[in-house]
Formats: sequence, C-alpha cells, structure tokens
Amino acid sequence: MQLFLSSLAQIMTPMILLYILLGVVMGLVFGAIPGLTGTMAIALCLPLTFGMEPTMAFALLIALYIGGISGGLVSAILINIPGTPSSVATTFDGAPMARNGQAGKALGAGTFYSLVGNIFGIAVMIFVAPMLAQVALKFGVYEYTAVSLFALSLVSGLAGKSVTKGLVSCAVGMLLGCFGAAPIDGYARFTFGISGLEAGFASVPALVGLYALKELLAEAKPSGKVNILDVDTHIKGLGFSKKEFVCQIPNMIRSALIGAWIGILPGIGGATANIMAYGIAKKRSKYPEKFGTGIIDGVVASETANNATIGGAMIPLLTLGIPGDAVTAILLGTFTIHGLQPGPLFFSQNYDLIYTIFAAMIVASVVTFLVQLFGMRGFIKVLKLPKHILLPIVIVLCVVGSFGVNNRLFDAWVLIIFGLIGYIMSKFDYPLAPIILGFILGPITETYMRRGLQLSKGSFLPFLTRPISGVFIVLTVVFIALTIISSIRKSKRAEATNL
Amino acid sequence: MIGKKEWYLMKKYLRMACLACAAMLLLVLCACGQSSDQKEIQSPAAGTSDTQNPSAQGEEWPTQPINVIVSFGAGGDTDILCRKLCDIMSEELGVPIVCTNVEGSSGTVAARQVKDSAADGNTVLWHQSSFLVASATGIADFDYTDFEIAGVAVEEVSDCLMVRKGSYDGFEDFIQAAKDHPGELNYGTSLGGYSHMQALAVADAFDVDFNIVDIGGGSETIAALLAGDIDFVITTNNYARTYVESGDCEVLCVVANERCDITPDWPAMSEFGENCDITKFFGFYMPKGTDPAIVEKWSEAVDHAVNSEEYSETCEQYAVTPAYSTGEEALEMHNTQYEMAKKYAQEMIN
Repeated sequence: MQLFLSSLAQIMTPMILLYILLGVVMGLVFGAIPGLTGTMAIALCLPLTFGMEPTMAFALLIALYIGGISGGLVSAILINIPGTPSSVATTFDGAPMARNGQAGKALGAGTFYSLVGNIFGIAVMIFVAPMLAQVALKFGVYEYTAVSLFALSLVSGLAGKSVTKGLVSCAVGMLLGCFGAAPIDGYARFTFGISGLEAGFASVPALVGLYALKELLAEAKPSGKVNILDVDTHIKGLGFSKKEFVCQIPNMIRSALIGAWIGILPGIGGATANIMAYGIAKKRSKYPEKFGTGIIDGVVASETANNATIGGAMIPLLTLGIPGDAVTAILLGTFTIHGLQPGPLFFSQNYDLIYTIFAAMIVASVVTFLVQLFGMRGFIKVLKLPKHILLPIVIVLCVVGSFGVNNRLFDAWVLIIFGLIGYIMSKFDYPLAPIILGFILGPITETYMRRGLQLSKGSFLPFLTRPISGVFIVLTVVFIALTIISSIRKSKRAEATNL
Repeated sequence: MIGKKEWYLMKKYLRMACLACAAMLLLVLCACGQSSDQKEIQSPAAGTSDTQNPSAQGEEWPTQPINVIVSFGAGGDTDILCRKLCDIMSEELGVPIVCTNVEGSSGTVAARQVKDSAADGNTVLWHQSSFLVASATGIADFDYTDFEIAGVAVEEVSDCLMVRKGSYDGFEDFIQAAKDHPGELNYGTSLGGYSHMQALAVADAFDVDFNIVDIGGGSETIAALLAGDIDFVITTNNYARTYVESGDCEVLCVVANERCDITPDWPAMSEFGENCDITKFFGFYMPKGTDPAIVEKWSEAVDHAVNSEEYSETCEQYAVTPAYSTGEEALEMHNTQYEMAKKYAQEMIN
C-alpha cells in the first residue's frame, strides 16, 4: 500500500499529469471517431515514447489505451455507430436511448460504468494478478475452443425477434470471417485472385462499415424534411438516479467479471467481451424483451465489460510476458525499448515501475471520467447537427480511419463493402449483432479447434474430457436447449391465445 | 428571408463543420508526421525530383521522406530493430524516415505493397527470413529476386530449444525420448513460419519425428508450453532467458553452430554432433528496377547504422548480431537460405 501511495505521488507531477491528460484526450478522440481506434493512437505515439523516461512513456501509452476504449461509447450512443469494436453492444441500447431523448442519461451511464469497469479491472490486476495468471494458464487450446463456442451460443440472445434471422446473420458473419488466408495452414480462401483479400477483412473497417454506411443510407432516403432531434442538453449529474444504480449492481458486477476474465485470456479481447456481457445481461434479465428498446441495462453491461478488459489484459502481460491484445503487444515492445525484460520475472523485478503503471492506470481512468463528464454537454450537441451534415463527415473520417488500419486503400473498400452488406441486411430486418459475433468468433473458434485437433491427432474427445473445456461445452448445450425450449413454449402460448 | 434564429443556427453549423474539418486535417497531419523525429525537409530540393531525368534521380535522392514498410506488427523485435536503424539512418540521409507496420500472412502483405510501389527509392521494405519461407511454401507467389536487396542488417543465430524445467535430462535425453516415441512430442509453432522450419531442421538432423502443432506467435507458444499443451518450443534467446531465470523452463540447446556470448552455459546444437545451418536475418528491400545509385546510397547508410555503438546496444538486448552485407554477398546468403527453405517447404505444406 505504501509502495502504491508513493507511486501515486510519483505520478502526480505536472509533466506526467499533462501527458496523461493529453493521452486521454487523444485516446477519447480516436475512440470516438468510428474507424480510428485506441490501438492506432498508441501505434502513432509509440515512436514519441522512445526518448522518454519509462514512467512518462507508460503513463502516456496507458492513458491512450484507457481513453481509446472509453471514447467508443460517445459515437455508439449519439450516432448509432460504434467508435471502436469494443463498443458495438453499446449501440444496442445506447442509440435507442438517444432517440428517446435520453442521450444525456445514456452518456452519463456509459461514462460512469466505464470508470467502474476500469477500476474493477485494475483492482483485479493489482490484487490477484499472479494467482489469476496461473489459472489463465490452465486455458489451453481446448478450453479456448469451448469458450468461443459458448460465446457463439449467445447469438440466440442477440437475434431479436426471429431466431432464424439471427442465425442467418451469424452464418453470414462466420462466412465473411473465412475470407483470406485460413488459420493454421494459410491456405487462401475466397480470395478470387484479389491480392488485397490475402489477409482477409480487417475487423475495424468491417465492423464500423457495417454500422456507419447503414446510418448514412437510411438518412439519405428522400424524406423532404430535415430531422433535428429536440434534445435537452442540460444534464444534471450523471443523468441516472440512485435507485437505478442500485438496480444495476448485479448487472455491473457480472459484466465487470466477464470483461476482466475475457481480458485475461490472451487473444479473445474487448471486441467479444462487450457483446458477451450484453448477451448474458439480456438472458439473465427479468425483462429481456425490453433490451434493444433503450434501457440503461444494455449500456451498463457493455461499457462495464469493455473497460474491465483493460485490467484483465494487463495481467498476462505483467505476470507472464504474454500480451492479451494488440495494445498490450505494443506495450510489450515498449518495455524492451526501455531496457526492461518482459517475462515471468517482470513483476518481481520491476516492482517500482509496475506500481507506477498501476497508479497511472487509476489516474488515467479518473481523468477519462472527468474529461467525458465535462465534455458531455458538448458531445450531446452533436445530436443537434442535422444528420445530412454530420454523417457525411463521419463517413469521411471512417474511410480515413480504415485506410489507417494498415495504410492500404483496400481496407477503405472493405468499409464500403461491409457498409452495403449492413444496409441490405438491416433493410430486410436481419440483426447486425450476430454478424459481428460470427465474424469475430468464427475464425477464433476455427483456429483453436483445429489446433486442438492437431494436438489430439484428430480426436474430439479431449474437448469433452478436459474439465474446464467440458464444463463450457455442457453450458453451451444447456444454453441452446433452454433457448429452444423457451421459444417453443412461447409459440405454443401465442397459438393458445390466438385460438 | 432568413430569420435571425436560422441565421444563428447556420452559423453554429458552419462553426462545427469548420471544427470537424480542422480535426480531420490534424488527423491527416498525424498520419503523415508519424516519423520518430521530424526534421525539416530541405525545401529547395523537395518536389523537384519528378522533373529530373531518371539518371539524375539517384544523385539527388533522397529529396523527400522515405517510407519504410515493416513486415510485422508494432513493438515486436522485427519492428524495434528496424525503427532503431531508421532513427540513425535518417540523420545520415538528412530526410525523415517513416516506419509503417503492415501486418498479415507472415509479412507477405507488406512485401506485396512494396513490390507494387514506384521504384523511386521512397518506399523500402524491412523484412526477415520468414519472407524466404513464405516464398518457398507458396504463401507468397513472388520472392526476393523480385526486389533489389538494399542491405542485410541483422543476423540471429541464438534461438533456443526450450522445455518445461525438469521434463528432460538434457538434450540427449530429449532426442532419445523423441526416438522412443516417434511423432508424439508436441512442438508448438505458427505453421509455415520460420520456427516451423527450425523444428523440421532439428528433426531432420537427428532423424526424429515431432508432432508439429500450430499454436500461434512467439508468446502464445510459451503460454502453451507452460500450460503443458506442448512439450517444447524454439524461441528467441532474450525470451528464453527470462523463463529460465524464473525457474519455469530450461534451455536444452541453442539451435546454432556456436554458443551464444550472452548465455555461455547453454550448449550449441552442433555439440551434439549435428550442424544447424539455418540463419535468420533481417534486411531492407527496394522495388525491382530502383536506380542502383539509390540502392547503394541506402545500403551505405545501413552499413554505417549497423556499425554504430547505438545499434549494437539494441542488438545486444535481443541477442542478435549486427551484421551488414549487400550486393552479391547478400544475394548468396539469400540463395543458400532459400534452398534450405525449399527443402523443408514440401513438408511444411502437408
């Protein structure tokens, strides 16, 4: 504790605080603009940190990381386009809330629960990191396969009115995820001789395109009048009541746990965590039918979970030297630049620096919260902009951002192709969330399953006999069975009332 | 007539639009100014290059910032070794050098991007031995002969064969176990990658057979090793050192013909009677048809940077050797290693 306080004091120098503030603001901007992500902001700033003191360098990078993940909620709520893949699920209820005139409440809740998620993740990291890392190690290829399958089974919860349409969407997502070099053997699939397709569709332009173009095209429909939402820009406090806070506690804790745990598993990441938390919150809710109409629960689940992944992802990095996502992979490189050796001894050999990182993370979370809180009134004014002015600007930014993913024009085309897919699918009432789930989890499941089969020399048995993996497979089956049973019951009841 | 209120609103929108434009401009500037240390571009020279005839191009070069495409992600060893070099080189060449990471298909995406770029010396590829492997296995449908080699900068012959501590009693015991249980020892790698080839080379040298499993990149293989999913890995020396120090793992041999200076206690593979002739190297490539004068100028800058004090410090951290070669010598090295990669390619595809 003393060590922690002294690190906190070390962080509280004007220079470092300034860097944290800069990092947070830049991260928020990158996070809020669809197509640009916190990862990009970090990659951009990485060379700047080479010459800095380690403390300063990590303070800046961590501020960018936290700001980047938190910023996604702004565009998700206000314009129904997720700013980053981590805030896809925030659009499900956040955007309807904004349409119902509750934008302030949605932003307030999103901001507050981002802070909660951050702090929870960091607390987990500080107190139980070494122990958890050992547990995470028990997760081998079989367990990853089972967890991904379980996450996929959540599709039924995201499907909306028609389970069939949800499954079709999911299948489309999985199909799109198959494009490019196959996992493991690198065999080219669906490349049609187009060299840009060799690496498949990059996930950021794909996900952003799915949402962004749809909004633009929907707005472009000739309606003859300019819609300007009448919004109340005066928000008091965070916009939600104490009673609502109390009601959300179970949801908050559950989502934080999901987020932190998904963060710890290297390679699954925030893009999955927010959708999983949303799906589970909906399943566990007493009023699942209200999800998607604009209730606070959805925003709470998504924003708590995606921010909790940050602390989670830092655990394997700091304790084992194994990065959990793209950002922590960059941090790993930064350690080396500063002459620090990441690995299992990192935690015990660099106590001072580790605690400085912890302190920087907490300060950055609070700064993010404050910046968003004070910026909220400004953000919300975006809603007053006519969409025919706002959306074209957003689309241009999306294209710039997509280009920036890998610095090639092909990714900008991906944005447009996915935009058209998103528009057509939503036009025919196919939900978009299952596409994303399929697109992200399909390749992950395939990779781990094929790896598992290589290890077991083709036998499926270890997937069932390994305890953790077995439990998740059983959970998946139970989950699907329950969904089928409840929908049969529902249709029977509907028949009965019709008669 | 425009009412006062509308006028006010319009002004407000205009202001916001201006703000948005400014933000965009800033972004574009950010993207362009990615270089580690921005220097002023000499204004008289800039922009004149396209009016000159090609032969004079080489003498004037470089006149504008040079874009180096890095074949792997930001923060990895491939990336850092390159950024460090470019830092030093940009001082000598007098223009900023911007490193851009383009990931995908073992660096094939990056290589193709540079291959299709203009041969004006302003786009350079930084790649490593996995390029040869990707060409040999057909993941890339082109190879190093489609480029001008513009200086090999680093060699790495320090990779270690590592197991969980206590699982084998030395390298001989490990080979004996592999002989007793053919095809049962699990080796984790990313299939079609460089470390896949290394394992095949070890298996070939000692006439054993491993079960080669795809586990992913460097750190994922270690996680799988610690979790007990796989029995051994071949990983970089700097990585191996930390896991040996922590007592989690032990190194059975360095997959090379000589011991490594930084880890003198670890035996080289050659001490067990079989040689290991594969060498990993990193180098620069320019699009085919680039003016030889440009290639030479760049290579010279590489030579100086490689021999600098600053660079050898970075290399020491990664346990790699700064080693410069270019022209015929570098081509010879590529040819030998490519032959080696082709030898194992068939086995790697299956």
